[in-house]
Amino acid sequence: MTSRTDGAVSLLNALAAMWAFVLAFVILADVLGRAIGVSFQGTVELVANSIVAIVFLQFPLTIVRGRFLRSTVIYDAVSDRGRKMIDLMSCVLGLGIFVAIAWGGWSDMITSFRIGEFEGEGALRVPVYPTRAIIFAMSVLSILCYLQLIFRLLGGARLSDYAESQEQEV
Amino acid sequence: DTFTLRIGSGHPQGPVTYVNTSHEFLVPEIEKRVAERTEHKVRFIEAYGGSLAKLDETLEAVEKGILDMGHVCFCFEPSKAMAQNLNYFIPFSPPSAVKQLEITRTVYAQNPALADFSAYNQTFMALSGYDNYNVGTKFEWEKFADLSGHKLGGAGPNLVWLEGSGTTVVQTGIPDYYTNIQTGVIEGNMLFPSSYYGLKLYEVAPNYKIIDMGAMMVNGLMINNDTLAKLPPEVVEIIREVATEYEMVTAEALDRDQAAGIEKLKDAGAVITVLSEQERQAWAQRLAGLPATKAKEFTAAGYDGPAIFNSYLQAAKAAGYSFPVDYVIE
Amino acid sequence: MDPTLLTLLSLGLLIAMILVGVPIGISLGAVSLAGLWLLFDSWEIARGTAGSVAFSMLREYTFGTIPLFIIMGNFIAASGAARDLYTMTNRGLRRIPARLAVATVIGNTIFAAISGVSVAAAATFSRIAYPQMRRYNYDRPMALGVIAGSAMLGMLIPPSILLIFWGVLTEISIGKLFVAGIVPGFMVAGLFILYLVFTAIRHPEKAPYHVGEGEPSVTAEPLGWPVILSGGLILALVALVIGGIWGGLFTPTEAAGVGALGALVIALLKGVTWRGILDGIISAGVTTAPIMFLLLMAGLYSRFLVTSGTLDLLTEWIVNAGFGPVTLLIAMTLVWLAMGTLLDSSSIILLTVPIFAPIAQSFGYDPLVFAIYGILIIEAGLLTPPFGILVFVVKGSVPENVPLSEVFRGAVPYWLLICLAGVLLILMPGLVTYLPNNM
Ligand code: NA
Ligand code: NA
Repeated sequence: MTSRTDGAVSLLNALAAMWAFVLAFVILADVLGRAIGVSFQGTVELVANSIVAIVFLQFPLTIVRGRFLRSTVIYDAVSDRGRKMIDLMSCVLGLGIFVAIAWGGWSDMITSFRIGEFEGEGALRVPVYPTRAIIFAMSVLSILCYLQLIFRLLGGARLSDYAESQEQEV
Repeated sequence: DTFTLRIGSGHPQGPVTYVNTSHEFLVPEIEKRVAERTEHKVRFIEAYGGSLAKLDETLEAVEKGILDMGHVCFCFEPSKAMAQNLNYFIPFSPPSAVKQLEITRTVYAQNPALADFSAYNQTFMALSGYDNYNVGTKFEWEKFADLSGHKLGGAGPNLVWLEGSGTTVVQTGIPDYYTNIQTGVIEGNMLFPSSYYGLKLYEVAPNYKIIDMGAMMVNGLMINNDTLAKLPPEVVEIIREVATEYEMVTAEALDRDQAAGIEKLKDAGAVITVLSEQERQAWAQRLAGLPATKAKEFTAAGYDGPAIFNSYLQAAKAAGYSFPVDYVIE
Repeated sequence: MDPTLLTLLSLGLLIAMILVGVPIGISLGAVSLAGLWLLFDSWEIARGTAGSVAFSMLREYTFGTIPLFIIMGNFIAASGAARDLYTMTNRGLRRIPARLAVATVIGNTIFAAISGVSVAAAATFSRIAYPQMRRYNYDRPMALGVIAGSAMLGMLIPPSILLIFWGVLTEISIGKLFVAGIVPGFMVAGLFILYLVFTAIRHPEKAPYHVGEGEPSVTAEPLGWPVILSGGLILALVALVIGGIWGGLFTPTEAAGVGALGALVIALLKGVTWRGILDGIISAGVTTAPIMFLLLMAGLYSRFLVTSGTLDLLTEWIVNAGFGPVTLLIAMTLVWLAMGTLLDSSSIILLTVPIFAPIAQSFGYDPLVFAIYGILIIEAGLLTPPFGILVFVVKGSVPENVPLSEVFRGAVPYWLLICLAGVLLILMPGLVTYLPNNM
């Protein structure tokens, strides 16, 4: 993995994490507002849509660091070659999943932009097309990350070393 | 041939009337009549309660063919089905679902754009919805002005009814009503009797005031267009026939459930009161501009807003219903 | 292909893939996509389902609690206040064996009054309690197991989203259900504590009093006012959050936001630098994403299962099998345990309760007892291999690389105790019904 890719996906993760933290202040503002009789409508929609976007912004880093949860009983016991096969299979299937998500969400995203899709009623209408766009963009980025990993695996590299070497940094 | 059809809704079976009639009438009737009258068979897989598509996802699921048939709640589709929520924007309309269905059906007949979902690869088959909205609270109140300073929960289009009341509106979903009222985050909400009973809200907010905001015919039974093309014509004909009957079966069930809900609430110890005619009038007066405002929004979204509302008002008048105020839409 | 056969094949394939070491989420996602493709004979619908699930599965206000509670856990851990609280517990309750694990159970019981989401509890305590237990050299499976096991207490002690679902579907009073869960909730917590104490007496090395080698000894750690005040900060935060919820200031979902900011204040008071705060936030992101991916793909798999119609056939079979009351209960229990490993608790309730509850009642089971029993068993399923989601959440959230098998191993006793509690409730229904019927 090039350090540039890693830097970029790490930055996305950091942005998403900050976004999640900002939600805490949004919620607090809502709670305080209610206490003095002011209601901010749209907080519910804002948090709900944010959470999806945040999670998708974090997937590329999770992929390049190999952090998806797995059982390692057999993985740890097999040969280096076996491990590479398992990693290759995981990457190809992971690639397939994000292809399905990106492709399956494409027309919804286009429709969403075209009609200016929103959620909520009254004072604050929360647009949902940014969420759909982030899901799409991050799925495409995830596909690219997987392609890079597959390329590296076929070139003879081991993913496990890489994942562990990065583990401590966070 | 045997055709397997997936039908779904975001609401669960049990506490929600239109889902119950789907399970007890729509599905078995179609299966039965197809078996009796054609050489084919239909087998349904019923996926209620959001198990295949959540409330705000049903239209999309029918569009893609994940569901062959789906009960779409238009209030969760404010941008794809804005004008189909018209009942919400004519406050104090008929409390009877049967009457509301008849009037709203006339509006659909006069404004075919409402039933046109071809842009989303699906066909509108039947109209259903919810029984009459009233107000349930922890505290007692008599006048509209008494609501001022209180915190009420709600979600979706019904929030507009509280605008200008001085209440603090807290967005709350159905599963959270109970806890939120119990802890005091909200002091009540607006809900129809059957669900107010079903959610046990009388335990925490025993004052249920009948304001007769109106029954809401705001759900559509949709069928995917590819499914429609794939099915033999005689099967489609039966589906249409049963769907049409389903409208009235559901509306009648809603009226029954509404009455039963109020009886059950009484038996459970809730305090049922009725908003005075004078106060109802005062509340309606405050919302008198709502249909006109919404008509403009509908027009901006590509519908003929004034025509839709005026069809409604005419049909209501023809059905002998009079509103507490005269709504004027130009 | 025949849907039932397809479902069975998919299960076999899933287990094989997971054992081999393909990430769980990827195994679930890939099998679901292949299964949907075969079921519909359409790749377009399969990918359409993936697109829809990606957009709507996690788009709920309540899922906002997961990253926020993890951030809260990180702040508390970074502040050293958790360390001080555990030091206090260790010194103050020195007569009680396994006192830190016991404290974790008690902590979960208190947290249960804040949160109605098991996953949030597991993630939070993985960040706060696990490092402290490990600092005192507690046996790893014991430390992991107690966190995974006690995460289910939040479902029995109000507020509980599962009890609300149950009440709505069965027309039982939610207030009564809430009250009915209290005694069983404390009973389960009590069973956990008894188990921990006995284990520690028989195997003192699993719950030692002293910190690990190379670290300052316990006696060198002063238990002065600074430590007590600092540990007290957490108790104050808990009091604020519980008070805020039951005082009507905010909802259980909003408590996650308020709690995260309260923990920020504690961290700043305790002198954590802004750099440290930032690290806590970013590392929460790294922890959150794998958990959410798992939830997302489990959602996709549950759509595949529903689409195949196999669940309908299974429940139909149980209903029509002509079982007696005991066999019926066992059959339902097996279905719940199996589903618990695969699906999230609310889906299981939505899918099974409308069918199971009326049958159970007709066989003479008290509806309240059946409800609490059902919640216990469904939550026990979340600890069972191969997919028990709480186990994965703990594995993904503890700040250390631990083998999955150790978490499963650690969780086994709690799984057994939860099932034991279920049996006790059936034998002594009064444990459930006494409080709600006498209030
Ligand atoms: Na939608
Ligand atoms: Na709880």
